[in-house]
Formats: sequence, C-alpha cells, structure tokens
Amino acid sequence: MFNKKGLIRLLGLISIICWLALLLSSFNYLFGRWMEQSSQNIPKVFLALFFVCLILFYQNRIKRVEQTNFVDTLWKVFVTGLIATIVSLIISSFLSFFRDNKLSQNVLLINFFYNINIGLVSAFLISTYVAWKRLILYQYSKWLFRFWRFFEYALWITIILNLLDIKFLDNYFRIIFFGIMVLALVPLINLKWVAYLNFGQKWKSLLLIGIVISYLIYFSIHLVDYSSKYRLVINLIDNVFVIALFTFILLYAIISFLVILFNLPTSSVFEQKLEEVVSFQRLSQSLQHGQKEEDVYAILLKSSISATNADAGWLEVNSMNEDACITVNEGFKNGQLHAIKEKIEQVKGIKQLSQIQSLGEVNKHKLSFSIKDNRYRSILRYPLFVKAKLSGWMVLVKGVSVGFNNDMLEMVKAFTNQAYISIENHHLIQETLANERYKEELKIAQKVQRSLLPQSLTHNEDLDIAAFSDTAYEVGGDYYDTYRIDEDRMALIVSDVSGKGTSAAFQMSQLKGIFHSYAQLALDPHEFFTQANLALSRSLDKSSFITSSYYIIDQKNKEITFARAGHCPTLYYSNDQKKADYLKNKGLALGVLRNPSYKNYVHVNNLHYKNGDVIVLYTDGITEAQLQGEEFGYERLKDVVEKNASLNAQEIQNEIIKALFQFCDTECLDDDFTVLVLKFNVNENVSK
Amino acid sequence: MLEINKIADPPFQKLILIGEVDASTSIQLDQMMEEVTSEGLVLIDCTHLAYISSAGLGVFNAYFQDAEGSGNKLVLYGLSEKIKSVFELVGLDQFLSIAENEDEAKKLINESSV
Repeated sequence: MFNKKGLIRLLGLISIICWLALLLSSFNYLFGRWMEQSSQNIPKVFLALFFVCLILFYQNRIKRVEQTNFVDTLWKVFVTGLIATIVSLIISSFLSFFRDNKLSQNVLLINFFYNINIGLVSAFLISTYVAWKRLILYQYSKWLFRFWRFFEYALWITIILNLLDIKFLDNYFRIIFFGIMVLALVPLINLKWVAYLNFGQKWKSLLLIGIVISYLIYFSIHLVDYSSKYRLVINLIDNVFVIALFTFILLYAIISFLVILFNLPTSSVFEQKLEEVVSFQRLSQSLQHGQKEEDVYAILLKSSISATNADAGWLEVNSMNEDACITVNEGFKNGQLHAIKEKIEQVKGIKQLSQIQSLGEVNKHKLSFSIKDNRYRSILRYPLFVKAKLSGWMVLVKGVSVGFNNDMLEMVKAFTNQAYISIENHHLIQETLANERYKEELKIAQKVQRSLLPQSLTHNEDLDIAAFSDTAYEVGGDYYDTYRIDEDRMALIVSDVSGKGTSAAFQMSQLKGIFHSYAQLALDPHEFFTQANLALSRSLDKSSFITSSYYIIDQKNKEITFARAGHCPTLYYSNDQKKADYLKNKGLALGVLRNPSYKNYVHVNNLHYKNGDVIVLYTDGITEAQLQGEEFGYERLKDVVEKNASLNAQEIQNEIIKALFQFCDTECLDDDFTVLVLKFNVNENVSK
Repeated sequence: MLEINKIADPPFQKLILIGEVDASTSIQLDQMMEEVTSEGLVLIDCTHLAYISSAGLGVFNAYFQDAEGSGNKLVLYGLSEKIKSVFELVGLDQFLSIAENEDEAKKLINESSV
C-alpha cells in the first residue's frame, strides 16, 4: 500500500499531529483547571501516542548499519541533537531575556515552550535510542536479540505505565526504573561495532559521542531547571519512560566512548590484520584477471613487506615454466640492491639455506639473520618453491636488529603458499585450455585414422570375412586391410605398431601406403616383407617396430601363402579335424633389422584351405587383455573359436569380442585391439 | 609400475627390472638404458619382470639399432617363459643376447667381448 518513503512521511506527520494534540490538550487542561473540569490524563495519552509515533518513525528512518556507515549513524545522532540543542537554547535565552517581564510568568507561554522542548528532547532521545539499537544489534546473536527484545518490550510498557499517576523517584518510579536498568545490562555491553572502526573513524566517533554526551547533560540540567522553576502540565522528569531511555542512552554513550578510547592504541594492529586479510584475497584472486606470474610475486613481496613491517625487499625466482627468472624489488634503488646482495652473501649460515629440499624443512632452518650495514640491521631470507623444487628466494630487510619474529615468519609462509597456489592454478588453467585444444585436434586425427581402416573388406566367393578394431586412446596403431590383386587372388594384412597413441597412428598410416603400393604389385609375402622392411627402416623411429601378418589367398588353387613378421601367431581352425591351432612359423618384426639381411628372416608358408576352415587374425591387445594379472591368453581365444566355428565370420567375431568383454570390462583394455575372422565356404560340388 | 635398480658390478653395469614395462614405464627404462649403455657391459636382470609391452620391446629395439657396431654389449637374463615368448614372437631374441642366469650372462658377455 505504502512505499517505505510514504510510510516514513506519514509517521512523521502523525507524530507532529500528536504533538499538536498534546499542546492543545495541555492548553485545554490549563483552561479547564481554571474551570475545574478537565483531567490531566488527556495530555498524557497524547504524549504516549507521540512517543509511539516517534519510535515507529525513527525505526523506519534509521537504516541498518553496515561496516562503512557507523560514523554516518553517529553523525545523524549528532545533527539531531544539535538542532534540538540550538532550538532549546534559543528558548532559554528568550525566557531569560524576559525574566523580569510578566510575559515570562505566563503559564500558557511557559507550557508552550516546554512542549516544544518535550518535542525536541523526545525526538533526540528516541532517534538516539534507535541509532544505539542499530549499533548494539550489529552482528547480533540469538541470545542478544532475545535480551534486547525483553528490554525493548519493558521500555514500551513504561510508556503505558506513565498513564498512571507516577511522580519522580516515588516507589513505583524506582521499581520500574531499576527493572528496566537490569534488563539494559546485557545490551549495554554489546559494542562489537567498535572493533570495525579504523583509526580515523575511532577519532571521529569519539568526538561525536562526546558531543552527544554533552547534549544529554545539557538536556538533563535544562529539564530539571524547568521543573523546579515552573508549574508544568506535563513534567518529563516524572516520566519513567523518558528517564529510563535517557539513562540508557547516556550509559551506552559513556561506555562506547571509553571503549573506543581504550581501543585507540591497538587499532593499528587490527588494521594490519585486516590488511593481511585483504592481501590474502588479492593474492588468491591475482591471476584471474589475466595477470602474469610476475604480478603475483610483486603482490607477494608487497604483502610480506607490510606484514613484517620491513623497510625493503626483493625477490628472485624461476618462473613456473623454468624459462625465465623473475626479479621483483621493492624499496631499493639499483645500486643499493647490488651492494646489499653482496653483503648478504657473506652472512654466516646463509649458504646452508640452499640445502633446503622441501617445504617441510623450511621450519627447521634459521631464516632471519643480522647484518652489518649502515642502513639495514636484520634480514629474512625465505625460500620459494615452485613445483616442489627450491627455485628462488625472497629477502626482506629491516633497519632494526632482530626485526623478524616467528609470527611474521608464519605470515610470510602463509602468503608464499597462497601465492604459489595462485600461480599453480593459473598454470593448470592454461594447461587445461591447451589440452582442450589437443583434444580437438586428436578428434580430427581419430577421424582421419578411422578412415584409414577399410570401410568394407574385399570379398571372395570362397570367403566370408569380418573385422573389429578399437583403440585404447583416441588414435591407435592397429591396422588391417585387404586388397584384391586379381580375379583369384587377394592380399590381406594385419599389423600392430609398437606403442600406442599418436606416434603409432602416424606409423600405421605409413604402413597403409606401403601395403597399397606393394600389394598391387602382387608381391609374394617374402618379397613384400623385405620391401616393407626396407621402406620402414628409413622412416621408423629407432624404438619403433611393426609386427605384421601378410596373407595371399588364392581362390583358384584354394591356397593360402603367408608370412609372419613378428606378429601374433594366426589361429587356424581346421574343419576336418574340428580343431584350432596357432600357426607358429618363424619371423621377425619390421624395423628390427634395418638392412637387406632381413630377407633371411622371412619364412613363407602355405596351406590349402577347405570348406568350413576359419582363420583368426588378431593383435596382442586381445591376448594380452589383463584382469588382475591374468591374461585373456591364447587358450581362451582358441576355445571360443573351436566352440563357434560353425557360425559365420561375423558371428564368430562377435563371439570373440563377447568373450573378451566377459573376461574383463572395457576399462581394462589398455591397448589397441583388432580381430579379423575369415571363414571359407567352398562349395565342393561346384569346384573342380 | 616399474622399479629399476642400478648396481655397479665392475666391469658390468647391472639393471634389475621389477614390475611391468608398458607404454608409460618404457620411458623410464629408455632413460636408464641410455645411461648405462654408454658405460660398457650391461647385464639386465629380468627375474622380477612380470610384463613387457611392445613399447618396452621398442626400448630394446632402439638399443639394438644403436649398438650395431658400437661394441657395447648387453645380456638379458632370468626371463620368465612368458617374457621370453614375447621376445621370440617379435624375433628380437635372435639379436639380443639372452642367458638363463647371471653367471651364464657374464660368461656370454665375456666371450663375445673377447
């Protein structure tokens, strides 16, 4: 209905109306007394209403205090008091000016002025009360809030009690007053806000509170003076609420004043602690805004100097990438720095510091020394670690001897750790970004490499073929391919490049080139491997080699010619014997012997296939798949093939992969693996 | 995991391999091999070698590429059947000296260096 501003204005207006009503009812009472008719209660009711309105008005008007506006709140109290005091002084001087005049004896005029005083004093007391309330309840606890509530309710009740006929210092007055004061004890000692004032604010607060106290004293003298001199319709001195409020405000002002005064000498320590917290914050946030390592070290040096009260310092450290030495200096001119460095080298025990191996050892060593120099008397030499390696030093110097204590050392240590965390985080972020880029590139590589494996395998009337390949990383080193040489013959290769990942993938692509060039020349396995070895010898990294199996399948003669270059032995299932066996012919991997004598190590075999025979070619990722030290092995592979030999090639291949995944989950497959199944379906009736 | 212990047993340098040589640990082995092969006669104790991957074989392959004609001698010994079969599969056993035990390995290395 109302916005906050409207509400405040309305309450202000009602307060003024109540005050006017109070004034008029007082006059009415005075007139009525002459006519012996009227009661004193009506003005009392309006006074009570006036108090309530004022409380509501100031509760809404004076905002919650924040750390930055304690002084503002005090300032507002001061201004309100100033206005009240000035107006009240004008009235007193007016009255004293006309002291001998009859006018000053006029009851109506005196009560009119007194009513103005009531208004001013009430406004000042209540606004101050609300301001104090805000200060007391700064960072309040549950218990404090409860105590405060008790006190506040009791205070409000006294407004109503005032409607009874109570005189200053009679029995009722005393009971109520002491009751309120007991309740006020807990709120009175809550001065948390004082701790948050800095040195300058403390001085301002002292001044303002001092003036507020003097207002209060002035008002008390003034009101007592009034009540002793004149006959009044309403005497504030008889009002328990006003007296209790007045006492509370005055006590809190005095306590605050004293506490601030005694806190003055220690405030520089608090400020330094605060500064340290801010330094921490700066260090921890420093690298988020595109700053360099050097900036963090500059902040570290500055923070350390201010935390230890040092006069100057410098810092030399290797950067995270170890590609540069970072030097920061604070408070030295060039020539001075060089001179002091030379002096420090001569200090006894300083060389031993270089033996510090790890952060944990730092505490065991003496880090502060005294030096002989006209300007500086003591130094602190603190080791800086980057990537757990001693990489540099921060040196702080002081003009006084024995200038560095353990507390300061701890502080420097904390700053250093924080700085290190910042720098490390920064690098981690950079690395992550770089990694993201690599990942993207690897994805492309993966696509390219996938396209190197054949999309479809060459078929043959006699032959049913299926293949499956997967890589441990984004890209792998397994390769298989087929090539139709002529109507009857096709070439087939399975290879595994040593190692895995990107380098293996590149070498695999070389192999593809070799296969496609030589296969079309219809080279026999012996010649193929000799040529391939020759080609690869020139390009393969010296630690790399490639194992391979090469097959030529001749449909016309139902013959397979093959050789093994260090590759896993081929599994051959003979349908006649219903048995599978590994073809253990001799061979040597490509790239081991890089000279023409390699040809002596290639052994070509051949065999004739029959209907239902199965050939299984694979890479060591299959047989060497491990589960808790146990390998999938040759026997398991053989069993799977023997059991499923009656199925077609695709089904056999599925069964092998299924068996592999049953043996161990995909996670334990940490190598590239490939399996190729060939099944011969010779229609013997048709064949010659 | 791979642990490599290097023991000087003049005139030999002895490397004791414990654990597994895979793609990641092969780098460790490679560095150690580089270090010792420049120092002369090398014995490699594979008694506690549980596994060697193709990348691990690659390290020996690299040694073999370097050693041709350099006069450096290297003998492996104490290979389990499994490890031996891996060397045989690839054919590296035909070029690297492999002995049963340490004494035999020393004998082998002395004969060949004469």
